[in-house]
Amino acid sequence: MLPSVFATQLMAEAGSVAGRPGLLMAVAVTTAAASLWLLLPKGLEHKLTRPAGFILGAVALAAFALAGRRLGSIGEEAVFALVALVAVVSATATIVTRSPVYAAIWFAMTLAGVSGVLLILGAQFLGVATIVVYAGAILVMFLFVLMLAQPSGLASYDRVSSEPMLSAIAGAVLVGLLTISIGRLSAPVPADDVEAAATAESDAPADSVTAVVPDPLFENHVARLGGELFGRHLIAVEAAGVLLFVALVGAIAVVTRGEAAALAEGRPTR
Amino acid sequence: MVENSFDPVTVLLALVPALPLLGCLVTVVQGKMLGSRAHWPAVATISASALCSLALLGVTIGSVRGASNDKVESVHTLWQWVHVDNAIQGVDAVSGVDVSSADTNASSRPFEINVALRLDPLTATMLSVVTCVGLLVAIFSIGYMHGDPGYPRFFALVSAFVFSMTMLVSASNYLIVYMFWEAVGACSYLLIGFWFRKPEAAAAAKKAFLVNRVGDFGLAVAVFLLWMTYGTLDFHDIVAADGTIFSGILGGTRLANAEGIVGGTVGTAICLLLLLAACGKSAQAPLHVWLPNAMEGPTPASALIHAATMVTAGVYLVARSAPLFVACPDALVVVSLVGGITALIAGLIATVQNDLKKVLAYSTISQLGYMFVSLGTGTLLGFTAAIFHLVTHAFFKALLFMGAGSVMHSMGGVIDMRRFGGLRQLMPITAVTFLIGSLALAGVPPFAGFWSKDEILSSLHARAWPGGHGDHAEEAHAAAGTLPQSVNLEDARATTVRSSDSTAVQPVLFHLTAAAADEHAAEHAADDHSSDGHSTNDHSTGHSEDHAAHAEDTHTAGGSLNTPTTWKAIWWMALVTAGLTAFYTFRAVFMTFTGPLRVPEEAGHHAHESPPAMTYPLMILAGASVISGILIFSTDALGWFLAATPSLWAPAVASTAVPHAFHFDIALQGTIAAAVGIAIAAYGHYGRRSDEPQMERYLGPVGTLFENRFYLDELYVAAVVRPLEILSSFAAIFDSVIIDGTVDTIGRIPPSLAGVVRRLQSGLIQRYALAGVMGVLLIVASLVWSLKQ
Amino acid sequence: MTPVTHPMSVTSTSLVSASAGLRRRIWPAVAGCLTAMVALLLAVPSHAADTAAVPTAAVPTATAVPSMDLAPDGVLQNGLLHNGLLVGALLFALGLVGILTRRNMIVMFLSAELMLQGVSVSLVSWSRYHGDWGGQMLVIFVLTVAACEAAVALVFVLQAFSRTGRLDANAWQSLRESVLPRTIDQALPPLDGGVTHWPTLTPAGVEPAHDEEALLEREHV
Repeated sequence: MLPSVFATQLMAEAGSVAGRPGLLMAVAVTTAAASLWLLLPKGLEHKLTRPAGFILGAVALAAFALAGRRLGSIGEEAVFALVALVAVVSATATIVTRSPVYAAIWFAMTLAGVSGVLLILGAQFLGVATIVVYAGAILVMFLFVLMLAQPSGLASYDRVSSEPMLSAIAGAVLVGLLTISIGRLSAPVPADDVEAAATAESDAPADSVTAVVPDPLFENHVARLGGELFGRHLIAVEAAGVLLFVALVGAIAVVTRGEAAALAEGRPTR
Repeated sequence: MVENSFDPVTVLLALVPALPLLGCLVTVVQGKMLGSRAHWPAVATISASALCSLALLGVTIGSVRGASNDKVESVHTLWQWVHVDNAIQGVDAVSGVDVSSADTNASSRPFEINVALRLDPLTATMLSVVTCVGLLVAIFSIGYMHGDPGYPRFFALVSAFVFSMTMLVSASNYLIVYMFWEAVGACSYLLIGFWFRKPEAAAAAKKAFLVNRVGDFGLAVAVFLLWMTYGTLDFHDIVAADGTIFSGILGGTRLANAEGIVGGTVGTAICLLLLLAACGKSAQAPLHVWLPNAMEGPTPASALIHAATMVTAGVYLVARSAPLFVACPDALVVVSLVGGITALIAGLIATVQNDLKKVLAYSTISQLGYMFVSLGTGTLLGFTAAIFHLVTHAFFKALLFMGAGSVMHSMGGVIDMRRFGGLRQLMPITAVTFLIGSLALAGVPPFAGFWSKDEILSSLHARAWPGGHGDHAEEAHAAAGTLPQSVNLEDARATTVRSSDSTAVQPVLFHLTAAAADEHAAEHAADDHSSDGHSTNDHSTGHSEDHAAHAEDTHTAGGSLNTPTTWKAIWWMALVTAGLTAFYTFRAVFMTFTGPLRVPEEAGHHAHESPPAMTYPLMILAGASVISGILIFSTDALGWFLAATPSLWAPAVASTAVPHAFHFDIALQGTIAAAVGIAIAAYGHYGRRSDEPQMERYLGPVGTLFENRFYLDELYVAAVVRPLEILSSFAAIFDSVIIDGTVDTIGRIPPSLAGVVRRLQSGLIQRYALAGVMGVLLIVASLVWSLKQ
Repeated sequence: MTPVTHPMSVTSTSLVSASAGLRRRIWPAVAGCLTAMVALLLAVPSHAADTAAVPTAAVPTATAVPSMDLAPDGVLQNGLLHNGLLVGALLFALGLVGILTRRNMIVMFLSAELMLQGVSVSLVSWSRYHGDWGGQMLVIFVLTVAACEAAVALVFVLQAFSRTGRLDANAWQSLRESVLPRTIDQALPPLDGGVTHWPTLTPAGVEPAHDEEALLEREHV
């Protein structure tokens, strides 16, 4: 009961703010843009810009969190909020941190958060695949390249950004537009459906706990995924295989050609 | 009579201009291929055209003989060029003339220009002169232009010119006349500037064309006024399908009507504008300045155009428009004054010229002035004398020019008389023919010029001393024997008018300025010699009472110029000019052909008599200069022949007829003037070296004035050319600064806009990506907004 | 012992130090992650109960509504969808900002991968909402393509690096208008502590002779 009371209070609170969802979103978007702008590396910076950016970023996150929909139980909400927080904060850190190696590590963190979100959404295979492929393969590849190409210390181009203000505003506007669309997509259920739900609820109150409809996406997840993948999407799978092969060949070809060109121009090859 | 049928006369009349046109086209197309044979199309077609002209002359003579005091004209419409329905509305008919039954026809008529060729005595005369002299000039040019790189072009231009001139004189519509007026001007420009690489020639061609343009402007405005006054531009009457007769300006129905021609302000304006046009074309003051410079062209071209044919177009126009002029005595006086003054100043300038062709050019201007003097007397004798002088002048002036060309050809292009002399030994044929021509020009009897000049002086004398010739006339009649014809025009005219009324429908005369009808009554034509003793005229029959105003005393109504004093002044001008003519002509003869033989070094091996192609035309023209005068005068050919031309048949003009007679005293005065001139010239130049100091140096500053052509060219430059240059420099500045500046400024807008946009292309891919993202955001925003539900 | 500054060891030591820094900073985040995983394990049953009410068709039926309070404005699935899409949108936008802003090509590509993550989250949210496999299939292929793309792109990055010696996106400006000058950064002062202090190891044994010049000098730019 206590969680439900708490939830009701939260709902009431959310409802009051959600009653004016536009204002909330505007606040969220604006503070997000401002914080991004403050956080992005801009060469010579006042020493307070980054702390100010952090604070505004926290405000923006809170606003976005308030703008989210209630999920029913506090536990679910807490878990989702935590995981989402990890993902978003890490993503922000990826793009604002100066050192590219740090950026790669934060990206790994982001992948962890995204994996969590995917798991909450029931995509178990994908959640794991994200970690395995991205963090395990792609990220390592990035780090290898960094090892080969990054000068020691921070280069000048790591300490400045291109058009921070316009890009931050563009990103904020994009988020605002997307959330407007999202808000419309997840519009309230029509009244008759709510009544139908209520009647249905009244019809089978006792069966609610016991009746469990098998979730097509959840049970035997990997088997079903495999079946779907190699069943309906077989040709796409084959094409993806060809794509992988082409990428492999292409990468090698470019490298060898690049080496030949470098030899011709007298540049050192890798 | 207007004939549209396909009869021999139509064919001949159409062939006369068409053949030279064909020759021109053939020469243009095939000239290069023909090379030195390029003269064949031109010569062949012009000679065929000359034969047709002579045939037409014969036909016309036959018609005049058979017509017995009626006018002779036949109009052949070739095609209808312009037809605009209901172009002129609300026309009032002339009071006193019954309008045709259909009122609508009377109140609106179409604007129609038909290409119609006419055949009447005046046209036949002009055609014969033009084509025969043209033929002789073409033959002369075979020798003269031999070896010139523009040989085909020359003959093409000569053919084109003959075509234009023949069309001009045979056209029966003022607009067609205007067209070919311009055409002959264009041919003149092309021929003067034949050697266009020579700057003086190009400049002279431009000058000729531009000065002629002033005259053309006069003709254009005259055409407009004629249209507005008469509602038509045709010479001839047109009979419509329903029998309505639309009177031409010089048509029989209008001319028979006493009030057909408009006088007064409008009429005088028309006449003065026609005079302006004639001054431009015939090189009368103040538009004479182009003719001396036109001597830059080849000499055959000068012979053809600037002696015999083109410059006579002005005389032709005034003669053709005789009824219009006769209705405005003020205009007639102006014509004579212009002619007289021009003749005098041209004669004065010619006395000090050292360039043989320039002497002849000024002589041409002077003789044209004589013709204008004669036209301006306004009598039938005056008009016919002018045409007579036109014919004889064509012969001897063409002869003189071609002789000068022969001399120039032999002297290797040198024409300054001070540089050669005594050429009679070197070029006997040229010398003899040149002498004959000079005698004709000076007016020495019995050469051609004497007779025509005598007729002019007679007409002038009749105006200067009106009525003072009665006893003289009697004397002359006794001396000369029978009069060829008694001029009994009034009765003849009466019958003719009645006979032309055979059609039951009255002609419709369009006469828009009815207000001028009042003045018209008061300002009718000149006095009538026939009233003093020779006449059997009865004024009261057949004509309106306006003619009763004709009295022996002169009309002094209207302008104050039209006084005997003015005419006396013109008479003395004419006489002095006759003396001057003889002087400068024989000065030229003596300087060129007498004295020790001197040949300039440019002559080289050319210094010999000219080839037969050049000498035969000289001889033919010399013969014509000798006999044509006597022939025409003794038979009074032009008198009764030309009098059948509708323009001169008009009662207004014909009533001024003076009986043909040889006035001994006038002839004597003329001959004495000529003799005095020749004597002074002989005293000053006979047998002397031509580069010795001349006796003209005794003229002193007056001589300098003559030498500088009365500073008229300088005056024109200062008064006309300089202001135009200033204006054009303003226009040039305006064009380059304002107009060009505006266009350039507008043209600079895209690059400047582009320069602004250009800075977006920085090469930085992240900025490009940002731009793309902004675009995507715009699209998404528009989608979101449009899907707002 | 002088610190060895082999190129490889420099990067690895920087990684070590980086990770040390990270360790300091993101320790709470890691703790949060663990908490999240525990919470997930706890929430799964109620989540499964919730999935019992997943509608097979588009009509949301509330026949198997669990005993939890529903939001008055929607069904549970709407809320999850909404939040999932929100997270996806945020990730996508952050990735976009990263590409537009950061000049290091590696960080740009990391941001591109971030965008792909955002798209994956959105796709899986939709897949969850509709109960359809299509979204997850697409995510698998996105994953595949991302891997290929990363491989080829990194080859190109290395080629670019070998020509210019920098991983800077602004190093390539040849496509600019000919009248414009090259965009050059203003010079930045060096960061504090220009000298990097590498950790030292306790020397063990006799160090063999090293050709220090050869080890110090970088062959490539």
